[in-house]
Amino acid sequence: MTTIPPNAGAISSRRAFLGKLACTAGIVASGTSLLPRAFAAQPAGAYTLWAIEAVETDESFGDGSTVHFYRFQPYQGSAKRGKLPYFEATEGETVVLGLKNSSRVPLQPSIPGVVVAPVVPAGQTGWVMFTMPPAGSYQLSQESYRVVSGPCGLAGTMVSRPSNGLNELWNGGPAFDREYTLHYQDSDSRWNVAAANLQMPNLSEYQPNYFTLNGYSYPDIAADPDSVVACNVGERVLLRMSNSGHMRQSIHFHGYHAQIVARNNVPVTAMPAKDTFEVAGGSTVDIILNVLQAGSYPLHPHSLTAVTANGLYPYGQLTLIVAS
Amino acid sequence: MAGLGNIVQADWKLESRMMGSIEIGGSNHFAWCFIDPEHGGEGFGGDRTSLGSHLEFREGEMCSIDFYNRSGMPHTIHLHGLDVDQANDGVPATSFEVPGFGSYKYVFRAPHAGTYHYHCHVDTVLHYAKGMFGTIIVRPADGSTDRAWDGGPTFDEEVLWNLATTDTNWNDNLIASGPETARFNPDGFVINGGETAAASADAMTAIAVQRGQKVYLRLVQSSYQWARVSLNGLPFEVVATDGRPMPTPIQATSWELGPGERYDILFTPNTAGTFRPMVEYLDDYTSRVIGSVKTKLVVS
Ligand SMILES: [Cu+2]
Ligand SMILES: [Cu+2]
Repeated sequence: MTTIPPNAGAISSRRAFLGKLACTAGIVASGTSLLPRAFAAQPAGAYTLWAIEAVETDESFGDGSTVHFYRFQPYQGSAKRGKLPYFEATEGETVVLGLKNSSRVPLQPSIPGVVVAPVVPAGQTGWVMFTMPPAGSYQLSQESYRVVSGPCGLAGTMVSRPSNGLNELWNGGPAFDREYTLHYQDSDSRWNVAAANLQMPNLSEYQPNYFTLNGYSYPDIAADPDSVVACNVGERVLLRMSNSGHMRQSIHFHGYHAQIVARNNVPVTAMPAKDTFEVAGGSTVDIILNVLQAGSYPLHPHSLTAVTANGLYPYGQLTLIVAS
Repeated sequence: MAGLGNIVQADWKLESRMMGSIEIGGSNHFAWCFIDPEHGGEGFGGDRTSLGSHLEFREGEMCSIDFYNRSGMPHTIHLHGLDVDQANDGVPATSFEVPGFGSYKYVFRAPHAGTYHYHCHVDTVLHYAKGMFGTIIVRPADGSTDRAWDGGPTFDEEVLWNLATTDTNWNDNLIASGPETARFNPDGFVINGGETAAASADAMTAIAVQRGQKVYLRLVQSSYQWARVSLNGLPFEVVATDGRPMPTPIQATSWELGPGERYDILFTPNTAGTFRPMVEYLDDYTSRVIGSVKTKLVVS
């Protein structure tokens, strides 16, 4: 077993990173607030702040067990969907992503394809400035020990709005009446135990046994207004699905066929309306649901172990579409 | 026509059968199954209980499945992809379960012609894995069995492959979900309930055609693994998925289906010979092939 030292990789990565992007990122000594005014090297110019904190939590599941997670969570009033951090801004805007790292391990937040922050040592804060990418759905992720990071819980969602200010996925793209963010995560609790002990897990073996949607497991999902798809007949609902786990999910809709419109922000036109959709680990998938009938309909992975808590059904990644 | 297209009707009966069996690795293992009591009293093809009977309806017609639960434990029928109303969705939490030795008549209007699925939705992680599923084919409104949908492609031969994996420990030893169903470790990899030897000899699965004949192959994915289908290098066209025509058919020589997905493919072999179509089941994390099954395609 390899032990993860609290500041592993921080210095070299940080130096390399700052050498390249010296004016757009910083590390602040421990004990300092993350409020922009308090940054040791304050980001210059106008920007919107997205502040998050990394914490360690013990979360309980329907089978009665408790699993140790590393989580990003909202900080200083930033938004969330379910338990997970959520941020939105308009494409082209300048944003500072700031992390207060209250966990015991170094962390390097990222938005894959957009920006990678410097490594933020345990107990410290850091930030990175970036420009909002083209309109679409993005994941908040984490690069340090990346393979372990998703299953251990570190994730969130970022939405880039089109510059035309309309309820469209991108300028002139699919329009919608309302939207939901559905973030799938799977965890092999053997990995969580290793991470709780600051050990590397056995990376050659991964069979997840705990499953969350927006950080919650059913039936808690059904009590979370961010995670139940409440809608009205006749509406077009945008579902921004993403998956930061390792399962290659196949998500099934009861009650409706729906239309995939983008995968990883690349428009998809090759598919008809379907009832089951691939949402692979590391990907984002945008789906338009035309609500054609009233009722309550499950929405869940068809690898049904993902609808359990350590095998016990029905827990895990089960939510409902509730149409009036 | 390999047993497809013989009976197209609006009203069907299904029963649960808890004493089914599936042959894996040369020995028989328990399976739970849906059978058609009116046409032979067995599952798919009228000769097995490793896979439920397939049902055929006509697009636009009001249809029913009169389900009798011939067992002491609750079951349901979820009509996967048929977009039925909540009352007929077969989910205990949102509709209801059919108690032991109870019955219910599921009523719905048959959707767009295509390939659909049905399965039990009670303690689903286990009931589904033990075999409580089958296929629904919706024919065009005129009931024709040589055309995929109204205005869609015609074909000379039609075959249905249900793709599934079995964890024989689950089949033989478990009656409820719990810690033992946390991890699915399949040791059986089948098409239509049969491993390679059975699938190669099975008249419902192996394909025998003449050169130039058009074959319509319906793929229904019932595994918890992803499945990669190939026809020994023969090219095919992906023409429909989940009961809807593709906007433009896609040319391919292999295709991956996720759990619960259906794809319909069309191909016309032009070379005589014996081919070995294959289904490989993939691990989510490593993408490695964890097991496979072959059948036979003879072109004369
Ligand atoms: Cu059942
Ligand atoms: Cu299903």
